[in-house]
Amino acid sequence: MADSKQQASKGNTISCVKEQLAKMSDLEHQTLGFHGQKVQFIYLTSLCDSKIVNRSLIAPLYEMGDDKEYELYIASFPGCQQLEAPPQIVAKLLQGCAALAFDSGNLYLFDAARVEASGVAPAESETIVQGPSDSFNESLDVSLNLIRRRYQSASLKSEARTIGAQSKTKLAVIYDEDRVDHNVLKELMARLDNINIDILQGAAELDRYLASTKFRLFPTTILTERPDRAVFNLSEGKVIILVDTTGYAVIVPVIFNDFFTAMDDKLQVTLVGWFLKGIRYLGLVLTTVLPAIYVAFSSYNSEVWKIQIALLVAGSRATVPYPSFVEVILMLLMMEFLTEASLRLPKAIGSTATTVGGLILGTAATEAGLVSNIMIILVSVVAISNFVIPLNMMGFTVRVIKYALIVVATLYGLLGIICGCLVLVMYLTSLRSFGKPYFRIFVLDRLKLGRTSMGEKNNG
Amino acid sequence: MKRWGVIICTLLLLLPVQGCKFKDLDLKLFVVAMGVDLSESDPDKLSVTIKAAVPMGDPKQASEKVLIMTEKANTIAEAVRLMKSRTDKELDFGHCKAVIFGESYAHKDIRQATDWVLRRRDMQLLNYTAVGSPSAKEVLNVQPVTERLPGNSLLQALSMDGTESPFIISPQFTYNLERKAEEIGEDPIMPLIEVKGESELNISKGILFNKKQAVMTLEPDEVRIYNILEGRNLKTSLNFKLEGVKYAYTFLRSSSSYKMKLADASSPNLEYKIKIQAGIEENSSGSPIDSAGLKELSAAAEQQLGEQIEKVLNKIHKTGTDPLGWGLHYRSRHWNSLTAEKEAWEDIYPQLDFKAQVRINIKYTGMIR
Repeated sequence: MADSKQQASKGNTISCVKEQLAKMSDLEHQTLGFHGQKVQFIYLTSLCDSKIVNRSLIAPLYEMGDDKEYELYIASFPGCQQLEAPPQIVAKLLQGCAALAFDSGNLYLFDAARVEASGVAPAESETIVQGPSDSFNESLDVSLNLIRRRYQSASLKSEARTIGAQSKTKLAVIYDEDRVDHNVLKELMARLDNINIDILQGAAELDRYLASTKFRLFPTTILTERPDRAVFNLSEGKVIILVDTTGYAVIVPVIFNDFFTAMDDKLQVTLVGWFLKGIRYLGLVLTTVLPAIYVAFSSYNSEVWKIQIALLVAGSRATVPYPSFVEVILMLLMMEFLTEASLRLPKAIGSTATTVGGLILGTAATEAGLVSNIMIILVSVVAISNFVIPLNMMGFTVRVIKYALIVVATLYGLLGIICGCLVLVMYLTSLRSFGKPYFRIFVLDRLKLGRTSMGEKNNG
Repeated sequence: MKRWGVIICTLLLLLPVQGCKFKDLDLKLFVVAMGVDLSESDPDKLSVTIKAAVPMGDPKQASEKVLIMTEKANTIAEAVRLMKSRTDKELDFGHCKAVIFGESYAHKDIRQATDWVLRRRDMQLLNYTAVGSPSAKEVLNVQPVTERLPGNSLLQALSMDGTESPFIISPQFTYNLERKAEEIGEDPIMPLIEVKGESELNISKGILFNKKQAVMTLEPDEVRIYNILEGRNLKTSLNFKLEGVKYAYTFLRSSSSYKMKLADASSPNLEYKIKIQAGIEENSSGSPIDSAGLKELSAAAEQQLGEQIEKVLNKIHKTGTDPLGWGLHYRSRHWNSLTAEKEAWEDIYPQLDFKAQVRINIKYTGMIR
């Protein structure tokens, strides 16, 4: 009697599950019989690894003599669960589990997920000269492996989260328990819990949802594809969020200076490292201020220049038919088009675009007298120094900021630039990344971290 | 949205703060030097000359065009306004680097021009001042062949950035001119630029001013002595004769200092101490010089230079001017009310007796021994 009831509920469960998974061409429902017993297999062929299913599920079924033995065998696998509620079963099936229903009424969910990801490829958006070149890939486990191999400490914790009602994207929040600022961690968890979206496709998207305010000029989280950067930041007490299916990790909290650290700084001789960092900040200043300075000096404060330069600029501007700010904005926009175009184009055509755009257009424009020679030099300096910034997110921000400075320079001259820079600095100092002051460039002890270092721990 | 509105409104409201008008570089005419003369026709009027650089399109072209304009008016301000209606571009004095006073104007009164230069907002206080002979206009009209940028050769000579002649008085900026003209105990001095033909300028003389006008011209030799007394490490050479042989020695290092000895009120004296390290640069006899010979030569050079210096100091003293700031030196070491100090100095100054103690150490014989 009880048996038949169980049978009935089991039949119900399976039909219920099948109902929910109707109209799925990749649904596989097999009933295999042996020794008079029947086992039903339900799984999605696109999500499950057929090798695992064959080798671990079907082959043993016929090798073993007893269904009890087989059930024990299945239950012994790690990650194998016994569930009854249809919604949970459906969710598991959609993650790549195979459901095994025995006649006895037990239903096991066996993890047979197939994970397709590109292999560990060299980092592309953050290349360095010397040093490791591997990067995170789309599989969470592989990415986690890359970190764990570099950070072999028991204090390294990873908490799993799932985000996205539809996408169910897996996250791993990784931190060093001893070093992390627990306020930051709490804040991060709270924000993660608050995210209410359907689909999470990329780490960059997560970055947007994590932000405290809607409108930001500067990135307050770092997006990286380099495991060594992630590990370096872990050791500094930061939190890494690995996002499955993206190949990128999000680092929080960050300070302004972090965006100007390349991973090979550590590999360089100290002096060279300082020099490189200095160059990057110089590049930052040049790329933001130079176009604005050109406008201000050529239209308001020409006496700041040496007379030679003033005459040179005036001479080369003689044929230019519009005011300086139009000239600057025109050329800078042209450069932006070029950068964008060469980014999106296939690599083979990309170089052609740059040659045509940069060389031919530049020369032709000056020869036609539409743009002054000095302007071309300036635009190239601005473009090149923009790429000096190691992390792209900051590079994009800087690309935008210079236009604001051009506007104030056009309206108020040098005074405008000075006030504009002042406002920028004020804004930067007001920014917080997960409660941590963002603009702490010259503070060396960074975030107030726990005192225990790795070495001490190992020795103790 | 509201926030953006506020930002844009603030920007618009701030527009009147910008000060200068948006005016592109190619719509401006850069005045690089200006000159002030007395008008020949009307002695009450001034004749103002400007030298403006006209930018050329091609930077590879060797010469730049120059625009020279002269206008007569009662005041300099008026003359500049009259000039403005003669050009299509706005005159910009932001790059003006030299103010030349005509010789006759310098001898009359330079205060009007100085005042204009100092008051005007776009004139920098770093203008080099000089006196032009025969007139400022003619000095500005000269186009030296070595000149690439208009007026640049004048600036390079006056600023000593280019040539480092011992006969050019060290740069006298307008702020310095004003300071010397106002300060009790120091008087202005300026280099004198002479026109030599169409494309050459000769700057080797100096002009001493009292507070108001030029009083005496210093000859090249005297200017050199002045420069030895005024600064350190002057680059120059000096000649002397010993037993019929002509020698020239070049300065490697020089310094000068002076002490005022006022203890004896009846005969106050001012003693200069000059220390020079030098090397022989020329020797007309062709005979080798040994270390004993060097000492002999040093002694002879010391004596001759000492005489020259005393002569120059006495000459300056006679004019009653104070280009080296002795009065200021006195005032800095004596404490009293301004008028009392001034009177005390005016009592002392005419009685001053100048002495020069020169110590020359000719150390080297040049590349040959």
